[in-house]
This record gives sequence, C-alpha cells and structure tokens, in this order.
Amino acid sequence: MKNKTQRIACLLLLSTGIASSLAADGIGGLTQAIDTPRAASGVADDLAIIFDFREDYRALSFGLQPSDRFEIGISFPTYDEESGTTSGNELSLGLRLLDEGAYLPGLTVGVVGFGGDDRGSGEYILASKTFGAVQSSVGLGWGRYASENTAGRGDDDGVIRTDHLFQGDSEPFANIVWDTGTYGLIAAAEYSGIAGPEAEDTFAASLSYPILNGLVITGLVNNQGSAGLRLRFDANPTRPFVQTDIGRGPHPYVENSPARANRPQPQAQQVFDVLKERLENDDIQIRRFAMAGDTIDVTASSSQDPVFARISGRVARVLSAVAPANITTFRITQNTGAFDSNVVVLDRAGLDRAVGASDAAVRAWDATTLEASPLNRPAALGEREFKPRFSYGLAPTFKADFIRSDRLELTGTLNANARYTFSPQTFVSGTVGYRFLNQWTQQDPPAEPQPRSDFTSYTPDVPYLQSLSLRHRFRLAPQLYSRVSAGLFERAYGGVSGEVIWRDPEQNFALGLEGTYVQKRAYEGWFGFEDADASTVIGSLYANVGQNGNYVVLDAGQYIAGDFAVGLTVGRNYSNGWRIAASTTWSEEENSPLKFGAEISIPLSWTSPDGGAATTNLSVGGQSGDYGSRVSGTGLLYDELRASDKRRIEDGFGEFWN
Amino acid sequence: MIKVVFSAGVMLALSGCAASLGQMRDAILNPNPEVGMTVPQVNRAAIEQADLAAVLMLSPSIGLGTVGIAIQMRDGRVVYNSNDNRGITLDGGLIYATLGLGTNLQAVSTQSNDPLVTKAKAGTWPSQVTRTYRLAQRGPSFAQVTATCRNQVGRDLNIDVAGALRRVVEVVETCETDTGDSFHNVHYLDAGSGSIWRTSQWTGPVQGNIQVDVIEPFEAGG
Repeated sequence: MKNKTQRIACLLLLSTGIASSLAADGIGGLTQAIDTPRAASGVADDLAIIFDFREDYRALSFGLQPSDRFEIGISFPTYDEESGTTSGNELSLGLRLLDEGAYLPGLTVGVVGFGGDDRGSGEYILASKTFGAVQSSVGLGWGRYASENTAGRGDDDGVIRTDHLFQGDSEPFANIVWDTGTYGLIAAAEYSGIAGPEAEDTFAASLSYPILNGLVITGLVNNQGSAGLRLRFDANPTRPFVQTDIGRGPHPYVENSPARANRPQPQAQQVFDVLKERLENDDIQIRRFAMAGDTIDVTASSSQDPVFARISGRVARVLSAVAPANITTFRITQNTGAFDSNVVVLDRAGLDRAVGASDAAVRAWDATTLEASPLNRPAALGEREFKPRFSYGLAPTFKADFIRSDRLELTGTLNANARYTFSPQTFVSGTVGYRFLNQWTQQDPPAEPQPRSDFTSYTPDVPYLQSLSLRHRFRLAPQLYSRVSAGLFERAYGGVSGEVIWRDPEQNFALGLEGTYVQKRAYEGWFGFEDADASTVIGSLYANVGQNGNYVVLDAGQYIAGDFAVGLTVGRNYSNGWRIAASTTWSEEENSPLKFGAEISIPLSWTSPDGGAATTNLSVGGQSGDYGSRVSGTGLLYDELRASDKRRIEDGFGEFWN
Repeated sequence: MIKVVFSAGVMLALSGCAASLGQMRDAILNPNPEVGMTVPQVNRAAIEQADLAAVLMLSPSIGLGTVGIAIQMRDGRVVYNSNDNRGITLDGGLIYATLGLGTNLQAVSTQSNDPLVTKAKAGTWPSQVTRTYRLAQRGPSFAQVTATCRNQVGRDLNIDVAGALRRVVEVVETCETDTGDSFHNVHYLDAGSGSIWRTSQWTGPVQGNIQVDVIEPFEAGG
C-alpha cells in the first residue's frame, strides 16, 4: 500500500465541567510556576505544548521563544461557568528585561491574554533569583492577576485596547520551584493575592514528573478547591547544532588538479552511472543528468533528507571525483514534485577552494548562485517517462475542530485517501472521512447557509466525502508558477480555483494571487449543493525576513463571507525540516474577533513508510468563524514551493559538506 | 456522561500522543545512546603489506569503530576515510575534522605551536593551548567553541595499538570552553619522537571524544 503522505495531527482540547471561580488559570503558554508566572529562562527556539485540565478549565497552549529573552504564548482556553462554557483565544508575551546576576535578581515582564475577551488580560512584572536547585520569583500582577472578574478587560467590542495595561488594582504573587534531583521530580509552591471562593488569598502546590524525555506531567492543587493535571512537552528544533548520524559519511571531495586534465576523461554515461550508484547509498536519487560543454546538470532529490544544501553537497562531492577536468560548473536542480524550482549553481573552482577550510560552508555559499529552472530542457540521461499511478491509504487524524464557531473540540477522524496521478503536474484525489471521536449533534440547517458556523448542520455518524478534486500545476514562465483546481475542496465548499505565484530564486519574497469560486455543499449526501455561492480573491506576500528561516505571509482580499480581511502569519523554518508558525486574521466585520492560530510541522520518519522527509502537522485556531475565512483544500502552491526559498537553502548550508 | 466521553477522549488522545511526542523529541535531541561498541579486527599484516597509512577510529557516542585509510593530503592535513565514508582529518595528531562518526566536527583552528600538530615531546608542551572548534549550525557560518587546555604528563607505559606494542608517554589535557563546559583529552605519545599513537580528543558537545589509534602512520612521500 502506498501511503506517502500520512499526516497525523494530535491536538488536545476538551470540554465540560462545573462552576468556575479562579480567574488566573495558567498564563497562556509563558513560563509559569503553577498559575503564576516565573522568570523567562528558556533559550531561543524553545517550544512548549501545554495542556491544562481541571474541572472547570481546560487549555491548549503553545509556547514559542523567538529569542533568548522573548517568549510568545498562544492559548486556547475553555472555561466552564454557571452560565455555560466559553472559549477564548489568547496571545501572551513575556520579556526578560534583566538577566539574573551573582547578587541581583533577574527581571521579567509579561502581558497575558492580550486580545482575549473571556478572562481579560493580565500583566505582571517579577524579580527572580536562583539558589542552587531552587528558583524563586516575587512579582506584582494586574488585571486577571489581581481581580476575580476582569472579563472584557482590554477589549472594547472587538477592538483591542492598550490603555489598560499595568493599570488598576494590583496584587502580589510569589512562587518557588525546586528541582528535587530525585527521579526528575520538581516541586512548586506559590502564593497569589487574588481572592477566590474559599479564601482571600490563593495558595497552590504542584509536583511534576517527567514521563518521557521532554514530556512532563504535573499534578496541582490550591486552597480554592481547584485541582488539576498539566501535560507539558518541550523541545528545541535547533538542538543539536549538527546533524544526527545518518549511517554513512559523504564521499570524499577531490579537487580538480591540472594533472587530471592529462588523464583519459570519462563520458557522460560513465559519469552518470557512477554518480547514480554512489548516491543511491546516500538515498539520493538522480532523476536527470546532462553533461555538455563545461557544465553538468543534475536533478537530485531525497526522500530522507530535508536539507537540500546537504543533498547538493553530496552530489558535488561525487561529481568532484568523477567529472571530467573541463567541467567547471555543477548545476543541481531542486524538484518539488510538480515543479523544477531552483537550480543551485556551484562553481567548481570555488568549491575546490572551500573544501577543508575552517569556513568551508561560507566559501561554498559564496561559490553558489541560484537560478530559476528553465521551462524546457533538452532530453538527458536518467529521464524516465512518467507512468500514471494509483495510490491510496488510511490515515487517522486528531485535531481541534470548531464544531461551533466559538468552541474547539477534540475530534478524531479516519480518512481514506485515494489519488490517481496522471503526471507529475496533474492528479485527482479524494478523501472519505468518518468522525469516530466526538461526533457533533446535527442541527437544523439555518435559513441561509453560513460560511462556517453551520458546520453542525452537516450529516454526522456516516462516512462523508471530504474532498474530490482535480489539480493541475504548471509554469507560465520560469518564475511564474500556477495552478488550477476543480471539484469538492472541503466539506463545505466545492468549485473552481486558480492561483499564480511569482518567485525569483534570488529574491527573498514571492507574490501570489488566488481566485476561487465555490458553491456551498449540501448538508445531506455527498455531491449536492446548497443555493449559496461565494467567491474569494486573495493576494499574498510570502517574505523571508531576518535570519534563520524566519518568514512572514501576508494575505489580503475578499474572503468567503464577502468580507475584506487581512491575515498575517509569522513563522520560522528550521533546516532540519521543522516549521513553527503563528497566525492572526482581522476582518472588516465589526463583530469578528481577532483570531490567533498556531501551526507546527515536524518531520518524522514514523509518520510515513517512505521515510524522514514527510511531516506531521499540528495546527489549531486560525480558520474559524464566518469572517476572515478562506476555502481550504484548493492546494496553495507556496506549501510546495517553500522548500525552495533562498533563505531555506542558505539556512541549510552549514550542512553542505556533511 | 459527557465527562466520561471526554475523559476517554483525553486518555485515548494522550496515550497515542505521549509515545509519539517522545519519539519526536528523541528524533530531534539525539540523546547519546548507551550502546556497546564493536571494535573491528584490524588486519595489520595486510595494511603493512599494502603500505597504507591507516587509523582505527572509535566513536563511543554512537558505539562505532571503523578503520580509515589515508586517501588525501590537503593543506598539510591527512584525510582518512573508511569504506562507508566515515572519516577524520588529522593535522599532525590533532583531530581537525570528523565525518560520519555521530555528528560532524567541521574544523579546528589552533595556535601555531600546538604540540599535537608539531608533534612535540611530552614535557616540552606549552603550559596551555587554545583551540577553536567549528560546528555546523543554521546558515553558512559555523558555530565556534573555544577551549583552553592545560596539560599534565602522566605515566610511561607500553600499549597495544592494533596488534603492535608501542612505548608511549601519557599526556592528559584538561580543557575548559568559553561556554563553561569542561572536558579531557588523553594522548599517548611515542616516547622517542612525540608523535601520537593513540589519542582521545573532544570533538564537540554532542559527539564528545573520538579515539584514534594510529595503525600505520602517514609518511609524506611515503
């Protein structure tokens, strides 16, 4: 069975409970003791996924650390109150202002629940000091850290304000966290001046135990009658700095010497045969080989290695040993599946000067230029006629779904996928899904179909046709990539869609435009439509900014509800294939709350029988509600082209010689 | 009832994800496995007969031992490579670079009188040596770790190096990095010439120490 893109999303988000009272549950993904904050002591690129579960409160939170001093939390809490259940979507920011010194404490300031409208925002400033295995923090909190009822603080009819920050009543808090050194146990205790139903002040204690490497479970209790569990997963995609052992070393690089020109020179077929044979051991496939004039042109790919710079380096190493002496340029084409995107052009003499040097990767990068692959290339060795193929697979998916527009639920779906590929550019695919966990209760259809909020009007308890569509991708010009799609894109919409992206391999940005016309799919049955249509026209700017694979995606245009909306995604690509991103969407509709989303993409060999380049995606938030929502499943091109970004390739160049 | 369903859902989700998350982290953080090491049998006679310069390379961090043959000389350094392309580059007796022995050391720069490079006899070494280790990181520039090493001369003894008995002097280096870490290098120098017969050198924070036994030394022009 071919199952090349199994993608399992594990997301934890839950519901139900009884009356609530404690206002400051957790701190939205930032570093915390129990429910009070402590010093931001992580390092750049730390990532945390935190799940809190209590009788009256649950939250899924992501903690991201763009730099050593700055941390971002995105949290999706659900509160149970006497009046019902409410869910939030909060952004939190923490900044370490001062590092801890030999005598002076560290200083951290934070804003929690920014943009939240259920518990309001809270701010804090704290001083922290470490004594051996004990870290202690003392601070002052405002908003949700000072008062039981701060709902709506910082939010004025959907408009986010800032004039409340560090204003109003304040209360002190203090906490200590002790690494016991025994079985990894960590104990914590805290005091907060916030009043609750049982006492004027809140005292809490917790004990944490590492279940697995990086996964910690915490039990916690306080004197306000609240107890709960917390699961925390920590990782840092940048560790270790260097590649893991991949079983073999690379082939030796051989400089091109004048003496070499006097020896018999190999023919193209001989070079190709040796290249192919040697690289197969490194799990690098050569799809095309051409040798003409002073240039060798190779299309190379690997199902195991996500770092194209390393693939290029390994190809160059073999070519250095077998290419004729008159060859001065190695051109290595990157193929994304549908497209030949970049050509990594390596100057052989530059590589000769780089190899073995203490700054070998910088020199190799200096010897590299990027070009767009030509539209048409002459026939070459290694090219095989594409044979149409059929593939299929089963994939369970766990994710947080917005069953209602304002509430996230954990869902489990079994998807049966099938795909018939006519050519590298064209395929038809379909997915039949069955919700086996947390089915929704079918509601009567609304009088007028709604963009998203009528999801529970669709038929539950039966297998449903999630999607069935045809997709064709092609290039209009060397730097102009395009796509047309038609069919049923997602459960709620079917229609036609077209997209064009302009990208120059030497630039750090690309521009895209997608136009989509869709009809609302029927609430009952697989193929029918409701009497409602929508069209979207969304322009996108994809920009690689700063260093280390940071990127920004800015989307703007007409969304499904006919509203004008702007989406902003900020993320970071890691050279080992990880991707972490946070997003927000603003709509012109006044009653549309600002939304936050998070996405983590992790390359894991265990997700795919084909190996390590496949990714597991975790995502939550983002596409929700009727406004600021776009049709999914059309097949946005940037998802395929992002691996060809110049910064992505440059980011991996430290691995060129590996 | 809702709570029961909810709790079951949580347990199902967490039981499935817990193991997966552990695998995730292991895949990224690459903890040093506690594995035994298989040391290959060295056919000294064949190496001598073929007149090859060869070293035995041992990487305890991944439990790997392999024999490398000198294949290149570049800027005065000798590149040793094994059948599966694992290898080291030696600058005299200093491990300048490693490939395929766990994680990779890209390069080491050192002071001009580094006794490992100049093959100084034990007892004539400078009191301290500063070396800068270069490791791949994000982007083309390598991360740098600078270590300052002080040395201490130890025992005179005989050691077996791949079937040959060598009379050596032990030298232990105690090093501290600019990041506050510390490590030890242990060298066994030929009692007469000061050249290295066996050395265990730090090659990075993940890979740790690599041991090299010189089966047959490289001789320029040899």
